[in-house]
Amino acid sequence: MQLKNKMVGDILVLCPISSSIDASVSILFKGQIVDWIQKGYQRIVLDLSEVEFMDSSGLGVVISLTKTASRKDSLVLCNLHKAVRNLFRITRFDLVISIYDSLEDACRNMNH
Amino acid sequence: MSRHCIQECQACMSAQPDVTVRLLEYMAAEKDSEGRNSLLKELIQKYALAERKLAELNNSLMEKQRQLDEDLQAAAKIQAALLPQHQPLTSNTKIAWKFYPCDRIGGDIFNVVALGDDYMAIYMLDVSGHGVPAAMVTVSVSQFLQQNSVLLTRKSSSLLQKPAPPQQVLSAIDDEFPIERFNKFFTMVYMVLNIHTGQLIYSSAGHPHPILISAEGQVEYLDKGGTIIGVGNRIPFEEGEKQLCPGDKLICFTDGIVECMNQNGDFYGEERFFARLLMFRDRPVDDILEEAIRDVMEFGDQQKPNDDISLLAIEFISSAP
Repeated sequence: MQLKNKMVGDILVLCPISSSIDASVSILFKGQIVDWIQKGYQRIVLDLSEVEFMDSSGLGVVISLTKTASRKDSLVLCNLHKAVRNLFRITRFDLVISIYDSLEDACRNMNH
Repeated sequence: MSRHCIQECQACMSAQPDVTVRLLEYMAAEKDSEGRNSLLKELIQKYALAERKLAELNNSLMEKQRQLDEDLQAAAKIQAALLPQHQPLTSNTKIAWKFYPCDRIGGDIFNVVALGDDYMAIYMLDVSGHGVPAAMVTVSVSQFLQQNSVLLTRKSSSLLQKPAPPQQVLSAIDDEFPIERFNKFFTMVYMVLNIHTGQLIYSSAGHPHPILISAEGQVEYLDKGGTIIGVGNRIPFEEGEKQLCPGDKLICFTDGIVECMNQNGDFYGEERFFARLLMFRDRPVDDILEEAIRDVMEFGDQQKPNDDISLLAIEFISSAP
């Protein structure tokens, strides 16, 4: 799975290029993001605009990243497709992690 | 050789040089062919040996697979023993359930447990992933829930015990099963029903909302709760309360049914599932679940589902006389 990256100020934006984050890619997905975290990036936006479906293993990755994140809101999400948004809504994990409609929103809120 | 002879031979060779070359070539080919033959022989022997070894390996692999299958079958029986075994002893409720793990054992578990004479606890949970590791966690959680101290709490100033509030139960489970413990998290719904009055108190940990269908066909979703078990009580588990009336049916499920995918890549989805439940709402709970399963299997062209499917339905039959 490819993970595109760019910087917006000092915020690292990671964009997984995969229509589905399920058991087949979740370990790779997690490993790649952990690599970035270990490089010392403190503020990360996960742009999920390419991800149309996420199963529980994908959610598991986001949960464990949130748990290991250094402080609240050091990892946020943006551009969620409806099915992915629904997964976060039903599991109420949208109350634990910040979710934004656009990358601009995410970056603006992180800078506040 | 006499000088004369040599001269003759040289003359002969110079006259017919190609004969000698052919002779030499023939001798070399002969030698080559011998070499090839012995190489071929060696190869055949090696091949035969490899084939024999492969057959032996295959046999031992098949034997191991057979043992593994037997173990899985035994594990499935143990897991099945943690599901409801019979109708509740009270005639005030009727229950039905379906459990279709996508491997032989699954990451879902549910049960209905009597809490004294007046209450029953109903729970369902779905551990992330499936197969053996997820199934082991379901066993661990069921075991944890069998401790009276978790599901029951003592009334103050009395020796009598009463059901522990659902939010307290979920919170205790959240403390006991942090994601780091088994590298697993789970969603869960926990409810306490007063089997005489029909009062239902519930809370959910990120689980798909159970659906309550009234005898008149009204639909309500039980949407109160907190987030997934394993993330460490990040947000409180809210409790919800409902008053069940005779004929009301409560249906709990895991996401396996709505996320069942057909060959076109379409999901079965909540809409289709709820429509099916409503279509058969007047029928006994057994029939409703039977119809739901029939429909999802038809949708998925009778293929094995890609996630565990669990359904649990409870009909409240009567309130206190």
